[in-house]
Amino acid sequence: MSMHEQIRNFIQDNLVVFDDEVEFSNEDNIFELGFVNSLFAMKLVTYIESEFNTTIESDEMDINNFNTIDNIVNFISSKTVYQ
Amino acid sequence: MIYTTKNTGAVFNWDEYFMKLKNGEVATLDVESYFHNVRGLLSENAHLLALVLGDVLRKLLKGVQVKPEPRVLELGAGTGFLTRLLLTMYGGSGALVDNCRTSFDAYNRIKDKSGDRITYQLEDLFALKVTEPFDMVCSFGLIEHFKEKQKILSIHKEHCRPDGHMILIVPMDSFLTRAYYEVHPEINLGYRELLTKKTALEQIQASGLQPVRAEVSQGYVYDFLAVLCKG
Repeated sequence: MSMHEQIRNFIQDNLVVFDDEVEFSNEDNIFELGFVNSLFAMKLVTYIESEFNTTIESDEMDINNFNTIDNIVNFISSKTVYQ
Repeated sequence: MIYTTKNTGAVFNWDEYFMKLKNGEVATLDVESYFHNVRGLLSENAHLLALVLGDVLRKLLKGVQVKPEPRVLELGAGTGFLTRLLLTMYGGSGALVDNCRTSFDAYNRIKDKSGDRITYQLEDLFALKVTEPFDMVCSFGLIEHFKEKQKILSIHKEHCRPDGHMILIVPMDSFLTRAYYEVHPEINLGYRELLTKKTALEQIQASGLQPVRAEVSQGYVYDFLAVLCKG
């Protein structure tokens, strides 16, 4: 499974709307779409840390790192490169 | 966002600037839209708050032995944002207390799966009776509403286990926080006293609580101070 699919599956597991109402691209802002609740951002941080065996530092807790699937994947990839 | 300026001198030429405004060379300064633009920039964002508050909580609780599956009590809980975030991060169960019907109704509208682990008591927190003290007692945006702070601070301690922890979060007195409340007059309906870190810690200590760590938020639309205290 690609990282994009993995992240998409995690988002879909945490939707606050019914699956059949949901359609979003890799570039869509998942927070602005209203498909996830207000706590999801932190849940996503915890998921990324455990699933990709990394630590997200304070200065990386920027909402722009987590608002689209593309941005999340780019962020994880950049961390993996530096590790 | 990038701002550019050609003015490299120490003194900005205001006469020239206002002349350009008058001549229509730059957009007219519409005070009302300027006000609303600033309001838009400094508006609450729950997703951003979850990240910033989550970061503050992680720093606050780093190296602290949080009891597995902690029982959390939140005083003046509103919609219980802090407790719901703590439960997302650390598991456990929560009890929310607030005497505001609007907040209670709002909580019932937004509660999710974690709602099974949370109870909500719609009552005055000063009249609260608990059968067993909690592992963690917290509040977010409560203490600043009381002129006399000892009583409200003591309530936190009263319901906390001797080996438990308290997390007290208040908006911090800073230029950003003042600007935030300046452009949001609609939420300034009651008493709210912005506290500096120094004053907050003094008040907490004067109330018999033991602060062990304090963290200031970074990157939210106002600054808040979080203080961890021993039970």
